[in-house]
Amino acid sequence: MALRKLKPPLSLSVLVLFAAILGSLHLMSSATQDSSQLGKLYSWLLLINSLGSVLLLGLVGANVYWLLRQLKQKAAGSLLTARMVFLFILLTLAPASIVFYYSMQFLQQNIDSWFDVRIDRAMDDALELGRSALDERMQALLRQTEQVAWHLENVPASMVAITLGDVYDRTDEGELTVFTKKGRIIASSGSSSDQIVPDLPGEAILLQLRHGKSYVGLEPTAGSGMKIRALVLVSGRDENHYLQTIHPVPQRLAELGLTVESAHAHYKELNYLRSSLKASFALTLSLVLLLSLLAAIWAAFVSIRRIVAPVRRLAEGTRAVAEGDYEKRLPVKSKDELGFLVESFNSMTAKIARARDEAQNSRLEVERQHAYLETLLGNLSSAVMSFDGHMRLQTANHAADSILGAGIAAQINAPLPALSQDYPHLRELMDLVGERLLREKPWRDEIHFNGPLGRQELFCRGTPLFDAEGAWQGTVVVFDDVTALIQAQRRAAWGEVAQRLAHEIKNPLTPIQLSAERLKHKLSKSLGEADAEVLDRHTRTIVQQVEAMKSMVNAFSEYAKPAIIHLQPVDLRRLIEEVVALYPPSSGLQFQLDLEEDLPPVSADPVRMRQVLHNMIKNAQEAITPATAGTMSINAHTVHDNGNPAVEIQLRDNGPGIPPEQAERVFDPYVTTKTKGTGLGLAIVKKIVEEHGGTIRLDPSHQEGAGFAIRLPLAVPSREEPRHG
Amino acid sequence: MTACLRFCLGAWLALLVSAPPAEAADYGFRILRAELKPDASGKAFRLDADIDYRFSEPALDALRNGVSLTLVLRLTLKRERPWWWDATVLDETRPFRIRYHALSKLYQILDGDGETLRNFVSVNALLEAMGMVRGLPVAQALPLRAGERYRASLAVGLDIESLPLPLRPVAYVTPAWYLDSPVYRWPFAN
Repeated sequence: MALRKLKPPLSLSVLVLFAAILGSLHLMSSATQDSSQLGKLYSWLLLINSLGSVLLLGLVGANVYWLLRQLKQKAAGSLLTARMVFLFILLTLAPASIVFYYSMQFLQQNIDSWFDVRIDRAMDDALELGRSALDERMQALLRQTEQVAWHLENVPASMVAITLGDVYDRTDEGELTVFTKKGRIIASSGSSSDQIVPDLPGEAILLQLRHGKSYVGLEPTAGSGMKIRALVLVSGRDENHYLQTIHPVPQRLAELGLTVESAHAHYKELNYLRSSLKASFALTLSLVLLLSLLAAIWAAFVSIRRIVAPVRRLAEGTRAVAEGDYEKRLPVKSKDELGFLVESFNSMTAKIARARDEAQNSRLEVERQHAYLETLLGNLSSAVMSFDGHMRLQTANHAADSILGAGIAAQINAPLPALSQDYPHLRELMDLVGERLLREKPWRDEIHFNGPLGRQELFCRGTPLFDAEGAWQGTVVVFDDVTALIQAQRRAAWGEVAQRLAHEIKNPLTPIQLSAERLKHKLSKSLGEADAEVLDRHTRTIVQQVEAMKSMVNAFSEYAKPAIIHLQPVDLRRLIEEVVALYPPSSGLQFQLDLEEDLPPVSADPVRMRQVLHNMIKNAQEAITPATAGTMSINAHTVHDNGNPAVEIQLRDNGPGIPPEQAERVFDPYVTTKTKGTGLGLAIVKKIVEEHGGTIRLDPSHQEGAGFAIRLPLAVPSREEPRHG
Repeated sequence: MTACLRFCLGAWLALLVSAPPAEAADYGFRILRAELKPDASGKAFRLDADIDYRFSEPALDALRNGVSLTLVLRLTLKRERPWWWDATVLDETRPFRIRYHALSKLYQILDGDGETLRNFVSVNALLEAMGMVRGLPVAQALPLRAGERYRASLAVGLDIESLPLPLRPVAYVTPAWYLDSPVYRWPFAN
């Protein structure tokens, strides 16, 4: 976050900063020229510029750190920024360094060129000239002073002032002072003296005099004048005195001397400061270079970041698009080519998003249609299978599974032989289908199929599929299980026959019975006992046989009679228990009941259902040989038949079972394997069950005897329960 | 302002150019004694001080080569207050220049405005005269109260800012140019 605060300020502030730096540098550069006002500010300017350099160095450092971090994180645009910054620094540094190097060279040589041995000599000579010009005067003054001193020698202290007055008369200007070694002034005279107290020499001069040497020296005065001071020792009578003469140097001469002196001093100072001057110029130049370079680099960072920002946003946007986010929109912040690029990117992503939405919609549409087709196929009672040109299964609906008794729907893309391999009972059928598929033209066939549900009659239709160009693409095969239809046709035929037969047979039976009874009634009295007995026996036989025939015909008509059933919810569990209770162990059958606890009620006519159970039990009773202990197991549980809930009752006995060749016709009338019975029991059961909308089939999984499975639909309220729930 | 600048620049440049330690230096100014005396009128005060001026070789070299050096005497007088900062009664600076006069081969002391000038034949004579401050008038009338305690302090130093411009950066980073005396303090009672 700290780095975020270093975000580029407005261009205005950058400009202001640059102006400040430039101003400061300019002032410093001017100050170096020794402009009097700025000279005072020089150190401050140096300090400010140095601090500015440190500040900029910090900014550049922070930016470099930021860039390195970006590079490490492989942030978008960081490589481009690094490359541009590197290029910029290289482009800035190279010319600046060259200019700096040659400026330094030029500066060094230029400053050195100011100083020449000849000028040096000339300056010294000028000074020497000045000195010697003044020296003559100084020597003259010294001689003059010595003369005065000669006059004063051995003059008593009280007479000094008078003697001095005489001497002073002879001198036209200057100041004469006589003083003791202790600095007490004995006498003083002079016209030029503007001071009340005479100007006495310093200790160093006096020390020189004590050694017996005279002193003469030039002394600048305040302002632009000069004076010559001469001192000699005066041998007094009692003690020695000092005589001092101070003579002003003529104004013109003094001015000339001071001019030479100041020029010499200035030159000397410059010569002395030569290295410092070079250093200070170098320092200024270096600061200028450093400041401008750092400012340029920092500005480069700021501007490059601004330039790269759209590129970075573009890279981020592209990454987002690559990750599937087509809603990404980038802000357009500039009107230049990059702005145009960003705009184009935005419109591109918008188009991609639209295309994606359209693709999604059409995919959904296709999926919807596919699901619709699936549902349609799934709810078809006909089995539908389609194969491609390489005989690979492409489609198989749910009905195909249930009709063929195999999980074909899960074998999509499997070739035909693989299906036969996985489901051996399909081999015959698949071979046949395979052979038909090669025909490439429509075909239809009735096929006998021995499936897990027993022998089935299948009606097959094959239709070749062609694409738009008429090339063969495969075949769609539709199977219809017409077993039930054929059986129904057979049963209907039987019913017709039975009804007609019953009618035709039943009509003469009553007259036969009545005639036999009348015959017996009429003749029994007139016949002898023996004959009467014969008659009685035969008429009884006739009546019995007629009765038997009647019951047979009744049963027959019962079978053929149109159904009249009264459906109501029936608790099958209770019904089975009630029916079974009617068969005590003495009946020759042991029952094993396995009835589901919460068996839902089925929609059935309880009277007819009892008949079904009685018929089934009687069928078992009749099948089981008296020698064996008969057992019959009855299971009842809920199953789902094609998604519809139903109750299945399994009835199994331990009788001899049903031979396979009879299996398909066992529910037909007069088809029986037993010695007893009418041969209508199972036919009636099947009729009743089917009238209830249920099914009955042989249970091939039971091998120890005959096994039957009855399925009955649940009562309507129970089905509707979820709707109300 | 100058002191502050000197401190800033000195600290800053000393950081850049790690200066050698200055303990072993045999240069620098030192105030041996200082005293404020009332003059004859009893209102004005005069300063007497003995100062040991020891210039470093670069400073003397500069002096001999025509560079004039500016020295500043700074005298302050504070009234002590027990519960508060001391009140400044007097804060006076006295700049003066020394230089070498090549034509006359003399060393000179010039007062701040160049009004008064003293000549010396040698550096030693100059230093001796400079070190003996006698009767320097400091203030016409000080608002001193009887019974109060005062504390006077005196310091003398070389003003680097008055040096020629090219010499200043060098002077700021060279210990030999730091000649300031420690502050000499003495109690002063009216």
